[in-house]
Amino acid sequence: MMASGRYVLRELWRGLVQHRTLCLTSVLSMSSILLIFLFFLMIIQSVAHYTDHLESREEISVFLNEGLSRSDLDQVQASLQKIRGAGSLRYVSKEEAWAAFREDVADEALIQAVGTNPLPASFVIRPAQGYRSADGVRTIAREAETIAHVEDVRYAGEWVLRAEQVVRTLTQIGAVIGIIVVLGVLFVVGATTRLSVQTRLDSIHLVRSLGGGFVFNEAPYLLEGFVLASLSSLLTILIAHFLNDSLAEGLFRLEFLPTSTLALFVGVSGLLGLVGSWIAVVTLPRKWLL
Amino acid sequence: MALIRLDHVSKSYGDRIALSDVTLSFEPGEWVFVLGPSGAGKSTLLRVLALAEKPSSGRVEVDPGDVPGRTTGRRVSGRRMRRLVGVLGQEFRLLGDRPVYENVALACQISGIWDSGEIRERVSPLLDQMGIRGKETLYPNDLSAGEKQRVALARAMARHPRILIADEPTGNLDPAAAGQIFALLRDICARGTLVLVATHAEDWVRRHPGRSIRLERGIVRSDTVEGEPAPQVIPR
Repeated sequence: MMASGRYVLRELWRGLVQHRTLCLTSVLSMSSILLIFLFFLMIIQSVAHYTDHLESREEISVFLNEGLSRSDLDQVQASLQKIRGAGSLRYVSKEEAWAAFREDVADEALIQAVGTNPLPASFVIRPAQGYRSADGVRTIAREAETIAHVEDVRYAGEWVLRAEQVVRTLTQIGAVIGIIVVLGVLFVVGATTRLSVQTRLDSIHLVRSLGGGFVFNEAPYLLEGFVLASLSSLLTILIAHFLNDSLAEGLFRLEFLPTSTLALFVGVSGLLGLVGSWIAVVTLPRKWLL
Repeated sequence: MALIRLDHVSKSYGDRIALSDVTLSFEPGEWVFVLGPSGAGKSTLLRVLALAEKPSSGRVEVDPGDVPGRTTGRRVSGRRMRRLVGVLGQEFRLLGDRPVYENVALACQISGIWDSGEIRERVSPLLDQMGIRGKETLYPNDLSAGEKQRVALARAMARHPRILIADEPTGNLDPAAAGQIFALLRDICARGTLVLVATHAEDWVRRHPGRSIRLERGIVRSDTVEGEPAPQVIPR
């Protein structure tokens, strides 16, 4: 077992060294398609975060008068819950509002200037499905304004709701593009590893003719496909990081993927390489010594 | 039991019939020439005997003996059975990226022999026998055609096959090198290995007499031993 493992590793090394130009070309071509895929993932992640942000803007903030008792609060809450289209309801105390403000502003001088907490307590209404439109939000807000102990009602403008619709459409288009990109990755990785296997047809045919099994016929090539694709994905991450930093100095900066997602990206890329190699090896026609 | 027996074997590729109703039997230590013009079916017959191709109809029976990895009562896989057969072609088919010693040792590793001492015990005598001792570290490109064929022969013999099949083994060699290869093949045969040689060169048949099977359009036209008809093992 150990000896056959050493053989496979030695063959892998031999293949990488002897066909270094082809291996380098393979890594670069795989990296180019994986780079598109990685940027696509980053864009999807950024869009998803932006959508979350917009969704929070669909909420209606109902600010309350100062000094309300517990029973007053319960009464307001009950009235708000009765409004048609009001989905979930969340209470934000004065203290919570102040803490959120401090975190948003992050300017100690400004906070010192404000002095004591001037922010009112509020209820945040999340409209139910079917009411997340400009009209629905406006109707809920108007009704909330009529409730006793309510000082003011604020909600996002119509542009937010329209923007969210645009983002949703973009996400759907993105999903289609994503499928095309994944198929592209499979094709390029498969074609590249197939090319790599084709350069060693003679030795593969010979070893098959001699009765060689998995260790000789498949294992070195599967491992090579895995290693090349994994290396390509690592190179892709480096390039993407560099490009994203460069873009940040210019127009915009995408959120980089978390480490767990990047690890998954490397692993899945390696598996794609392995599958590509496997297909390349098993579909080779048999050719004997005679 | 015969070492290998073909029982009413036919082989066709689409509409083309390469072998037609061939019944032959071979014993250990036999020296057999397979003769016939191009397209007669020599290579097909050898491929069937080498278990590299399945016949379209008929049966090929091989006495598996003590094939490595065989479990009593279990069927032996085609791949393992192929390890019973050594093959030598017109083209040497050596791996150019590794030296002579590794080319020969590879056959041992494929048979499941990984211990370097055991491999050396098998390879070294073969290198002596083939007259290529001292060239272990050379690469195939550094060898003459005759030396390459001797390395290929050493590789074929490294697994101690019971059957050695040679298809035009001297086709790419000068007469002197060809004579050396035939001498080695006769030596291997004398040690108990069934040796089958396909050739166009009738001159070698006269110089190394033995059993001769003559094929024509996929049919066995004659099967003689040094001029005498060989007894048919399977009556038709």
